[in-house]
Amino acid sequence: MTEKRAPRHRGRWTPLRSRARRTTEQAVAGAIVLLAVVAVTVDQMAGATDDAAAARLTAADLAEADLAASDPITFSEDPADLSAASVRASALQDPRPVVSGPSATLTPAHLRIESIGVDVDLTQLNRRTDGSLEPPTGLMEAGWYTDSAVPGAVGPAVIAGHVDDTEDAGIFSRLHEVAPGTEIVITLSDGTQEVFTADSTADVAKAAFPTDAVYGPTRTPQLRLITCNGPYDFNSMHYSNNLVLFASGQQGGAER
Amino acid sequence: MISSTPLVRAVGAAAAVAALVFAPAAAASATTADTGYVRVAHLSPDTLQVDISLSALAGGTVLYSLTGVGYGGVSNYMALDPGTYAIAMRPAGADPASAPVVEASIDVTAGAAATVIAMGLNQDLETTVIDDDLSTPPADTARVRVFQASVDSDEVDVSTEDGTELASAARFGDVGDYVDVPAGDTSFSLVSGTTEDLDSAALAAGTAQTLFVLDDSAGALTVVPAIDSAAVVQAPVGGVETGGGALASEQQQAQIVTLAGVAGIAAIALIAVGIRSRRQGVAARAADQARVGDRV
Repeated sequence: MTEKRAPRHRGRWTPLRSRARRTTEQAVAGAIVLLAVVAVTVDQMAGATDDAAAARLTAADLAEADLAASDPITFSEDPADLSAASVRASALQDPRPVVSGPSATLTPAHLRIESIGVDVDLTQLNRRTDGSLEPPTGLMEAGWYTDSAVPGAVGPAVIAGHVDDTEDAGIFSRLHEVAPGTEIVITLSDGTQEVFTADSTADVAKAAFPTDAVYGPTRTPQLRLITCNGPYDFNSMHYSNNLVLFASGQQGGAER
Repeated sequence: MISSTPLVRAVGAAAAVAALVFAPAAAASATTADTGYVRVAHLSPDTLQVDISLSALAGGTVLYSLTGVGYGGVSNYMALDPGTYAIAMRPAGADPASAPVVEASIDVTAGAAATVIAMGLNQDLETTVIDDDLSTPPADTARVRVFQASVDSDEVDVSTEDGTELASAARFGDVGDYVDVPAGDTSFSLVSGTTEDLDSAALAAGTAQTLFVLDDSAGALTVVPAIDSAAVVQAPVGGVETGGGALASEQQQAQIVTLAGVAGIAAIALIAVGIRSRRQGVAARAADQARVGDRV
């Protein structure tokens, strides 16, 4: 197998420290760090007056505030060196990959889409012997496909529900009303909530179902809600289309 | 993260370790085919925790912020519209307006994904960008590649327990090609010189993952996996039968009523026309007869 040097054409990094000057700077680094600690503490104490106001600060405000705060403090000719020194550990550390997001052992338990009155416990769905996704048993049930992602984990989480049966409207009869930006809340089996935002809906022919778009790989936590859609074929007693709602996890995906 | 007292700031940093999650500072745009993705990795073994922010280069508005990212931390992907963005790393808890430790600009391309990596010893901190795959692995497999970020090893060989080679003599900063391996908990052999270290990772079916090879505090090699993409384990065939036609039947019944109405109007019209044409026929025949009579 061939190894290749990582391509560097797309990133342009700005070196903030000159290695040539490093030896002389090392000598004053300790003193600078001490000064920094004092300075930062002073800065923090000065900023402790108004939590609420701080939370409302915009980027522009911060730039202005920092300018004012740092005025009386002289760090060095190159403040970036101070930053680098302050994040240097005394020895090599153990990597600490952070595992967040839902565990693979969790399952989605409840679905809520307030805007269309959906507030329902979830069942579990598998593939039928012909390879198709089994629909939920009950008209007012919605089910999670067990081989799809746990909602909140990277990948597409798939939930299906009926639009109707031969007599009545089903749990997803109003799915077509969900507008982009609508919040969709899923509660997992441990009680934690994963929030998604509707991106779009697609009316797709079952005969040309967009398998890749619905079930294919994604970079972030995604959600697909599937139901039936017209036109209805009265001979075969089936709708010829599916309605698919695409939604994205609000946090853009927890780190894995 | 904006907090005002040293105490709050310390607690905040501790909390951030437990939940390393990007907080979109602005409303994230809807995910479309044009969306590009960027994530950030802190792979510098002697660099403490940093706060990372991503902002639009043009406007300077912070779009995503990530606090308390320690060594070995790989962020989730940030969904972005195509364009140029600035990424800055600052000491954890530092003022967001202070000078960053490192900063970079990155071009985000529609539909593509990249990882921005800070690596090396702190005094030699360097950065690189790699492109990340988005393709569906075959059933029951995972798609993995190796990124070598060990500062202690010149060259590293990586293979799975069944002997599948993932990297051969990979040097610092090298990235391998993706290789399909059986899904499941997998042990890896990490060989540098005459030393072999073992580590393992869970490789879920349908995922593509990058295995970052890193040093631990004892000088051993370890693997930190990050998910590049994930699909369903197995895609169902075709669409879903989620309707019985009740709502369509109501529409159909309405159509039948309408059709009946149309048919009725048509029938009346036809009858009217028929009567008229019969009358015309009678008149025509009479006229013909008259003409015949004229001639006869």
